[in-house]
Amino acid sequence: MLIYQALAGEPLYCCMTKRQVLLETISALLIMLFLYASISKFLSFRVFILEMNNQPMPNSLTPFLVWTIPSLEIAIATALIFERTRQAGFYASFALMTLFTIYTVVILLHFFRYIPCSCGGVIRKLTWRQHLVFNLFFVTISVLGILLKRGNFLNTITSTKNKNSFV
Amino acid sequence: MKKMKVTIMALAILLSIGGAFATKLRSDDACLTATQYHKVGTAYVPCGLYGTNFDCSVSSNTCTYWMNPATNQYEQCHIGTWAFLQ
Repeated sequence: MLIYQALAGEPLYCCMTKRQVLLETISALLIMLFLYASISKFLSFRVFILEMNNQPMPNSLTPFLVWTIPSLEIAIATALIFERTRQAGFYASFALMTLFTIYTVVILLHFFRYIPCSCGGVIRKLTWRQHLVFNLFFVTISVLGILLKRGNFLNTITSTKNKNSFV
Repeated sequence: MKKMKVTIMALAILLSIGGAFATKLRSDDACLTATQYHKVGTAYVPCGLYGTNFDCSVSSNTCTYWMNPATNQYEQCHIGTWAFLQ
């Protein structure tokens, strides 16, 4: 119901609609995730390199991945802060989280010859199943962010409903 | 409205930076970057680089040990099941 009201842009307080509040909350959650994950990686960089080496992919990719992943996470967090780049940030967040989710599913399906340990600050304490739920949550809110930012999502549904009621 | 937005964003940034520093590995850092030992019987054998010479797959066992200079004893480092790579 809250999401429905938010998508419809119903006013919440004097100055922000529920849609805006939800948009800001989603952005804040994604910013916290990406900033926390990237800073944790840079703070324990040597450990992060070791953990990347332990992932079931060629170690030759490690020098590339250890810089690309946290940099990408910081770039997405930055894009989500500013109104003009937020839509792109939601798309990028959706893409990255979907990739992480696919990787988690592949690991859980025992596609690789062993199940590696996970990495990234406190997130390393999660099991791969918890990781999957965690990732799916952030994929979902990224999609919600895209839809809310588009704004016309519910309008399209409402107008289709109204048209049908006249027929 | 802008004030509220700025507050939410500032809070998110501060929480993530603060959280990252607060949960930064401290003792683990020393263990994970130290020489790793694999226990064979009662002996501790150096087993090379994590991810290159050996792997630890998810389990609750002790995968590797390290020599803690503070206690001068071998202590658990990586958790998991030890697997030789090369």
